[in-house]
Amino acid sequence: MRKLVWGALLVITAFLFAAPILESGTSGSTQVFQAIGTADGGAGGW
Amino acid sequence: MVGPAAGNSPSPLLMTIGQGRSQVEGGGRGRSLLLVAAFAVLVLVETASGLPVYAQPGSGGQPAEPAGTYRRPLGNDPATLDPARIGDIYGRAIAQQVFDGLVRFDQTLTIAPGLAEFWRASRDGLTWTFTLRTGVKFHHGREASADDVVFSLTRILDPRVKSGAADLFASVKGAAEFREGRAKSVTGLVAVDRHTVQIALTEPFVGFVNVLAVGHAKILPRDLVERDADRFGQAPSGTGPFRFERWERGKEITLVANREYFGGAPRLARIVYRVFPGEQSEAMYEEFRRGHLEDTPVPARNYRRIVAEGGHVHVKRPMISVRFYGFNTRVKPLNDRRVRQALNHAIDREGLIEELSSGRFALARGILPPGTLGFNPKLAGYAYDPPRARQLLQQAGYPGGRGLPPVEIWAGSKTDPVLREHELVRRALDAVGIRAEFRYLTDWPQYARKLAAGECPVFLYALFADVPDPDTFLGKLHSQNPQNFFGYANPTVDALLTAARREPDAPRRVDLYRRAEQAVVDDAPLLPIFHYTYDRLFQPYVKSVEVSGLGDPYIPFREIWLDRR
Repeated sequence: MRKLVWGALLVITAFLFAAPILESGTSGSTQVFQAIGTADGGAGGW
Repeated sequence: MVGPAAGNSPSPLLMTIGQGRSQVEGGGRGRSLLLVAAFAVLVLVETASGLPVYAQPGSGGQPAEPAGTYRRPLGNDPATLDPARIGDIYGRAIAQQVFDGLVRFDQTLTIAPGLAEFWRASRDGLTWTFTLRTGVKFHHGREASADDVVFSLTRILDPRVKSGAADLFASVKGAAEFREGRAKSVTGLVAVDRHTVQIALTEPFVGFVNVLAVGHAKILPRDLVERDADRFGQAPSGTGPFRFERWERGKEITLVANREYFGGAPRLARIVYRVFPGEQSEAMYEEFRRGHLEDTPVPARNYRRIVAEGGHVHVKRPMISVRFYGFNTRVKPLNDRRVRQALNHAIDREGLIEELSSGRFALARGILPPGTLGFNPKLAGYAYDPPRARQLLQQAGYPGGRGLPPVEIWAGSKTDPVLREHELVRRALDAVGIRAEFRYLTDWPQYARKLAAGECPVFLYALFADVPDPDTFLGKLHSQNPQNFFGYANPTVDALLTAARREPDAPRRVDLYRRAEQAVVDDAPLLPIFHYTYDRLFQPYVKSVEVSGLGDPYIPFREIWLDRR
């Protein structure tokens, strides 16, 4: 039984280390971290 | 990789840009216009009564099928509708409705899914995997695939395309080799299968997903672009909510609803963009008043009276933009910093804004607009100081302006307000001994070409952000930027800008940009005038307009409908 628990913990730990850190739908994938961009020009009329 | 700003507290970026405010003004009917203003955390919409509202959805009456024609004024004929090549707000306004990117900015400028349904980054931040929606078709009928994504992003890096977004993709593995002609493809862009794209970077960049939301990074059908890229720019086909129908050069561009759009069919059947070359805002307003347009900019002349008149909905909010006179620093006498500084000191910009716009725009002391990360409220800029202007001219070897050749000032707009402004500028420059000659070229594609060729010693220009980031504006001053029309090259500024782009720590990034901006202002390759306010009238029957800080080109027309009951 103890072996099984340790085995399960090992699997979970391995999964956490291998898992990606940024995914769509998490704040990590937004411009909260850093944005970068370009600008378009215009004639500058009023 | 993740800076202090990325923890549990809101980032300085969002806190700063959240300072903007929007207003919806107008009669009772008009207040039902939906305005979702930009930037996540703060509610930015107010009615004329000052009561904050987040959104006022149109009540009932929404068409079940796409219906009605929306007639929009366009300030100039676009140079192209090819997203990778677009460099102006005119083409961008149309391309935004015709194409999708992998991701997009929502109304709050937060990243939302586009053609990619899902994405993830590897733990080391070097590999990004995007899963595409299945069954999304281009307007010509073929399904969009991972191969189209790889093709479209590779194309942005192709030096022959001269895309303004190429530098944003420089961190993609193999980008440098491809750009320098040492490789035929970009190794970091891979179609894993029909609906999976993997992008490998040379260095971790947690903000990379933002790059994919810029207007240039739309997904194009490989077959059509490869067949004839120039023709594609005149008659594009994307996956967006509206399909290109027709372009009558210099007059009109028509889009029709894409009923198969993956996000749901638009509520409008058709959008007709009517071209008013040279930003003829008064002619646009006249057409609006006659009921021939659904929206219009507010003309500077009689601004207060027009706004107070009623019968329309007035939408107003700060815009992430800057309007300025740029100097070609490679031509005499503008290659002398003292002459450029003299020009800056010679103009009473505050007086000019007050007299010509009833004070509705914000004075620009530097380049970064308020609400942008790094905006420096303490930046002094150049005060109106004619004696100092004369002194600088004397130091440059032109005492009293003697020996100074006339300065040629070019503009892509020849409206009454611009002409009145130029009269004030002419008088101000004359007072310090600088003779100005004005040239107008209201054919936008021609004007854009002339700028790119470095043929305008002084040029009236405006920049509008597609991401609320300092690099958007200051990046144009980097010596290697293809849209550096100033011919400006300062190794210190280049180094600061390059370092800032790579800096993940927001406070340190702010510091780098502020130093770069100060150095640019000291060198004076431009004369900043003002930051625009988004200021537009809509017919009271127009519903569900969403305006972010990026302004007009980014209004999602899929949501808009006309309540003509």
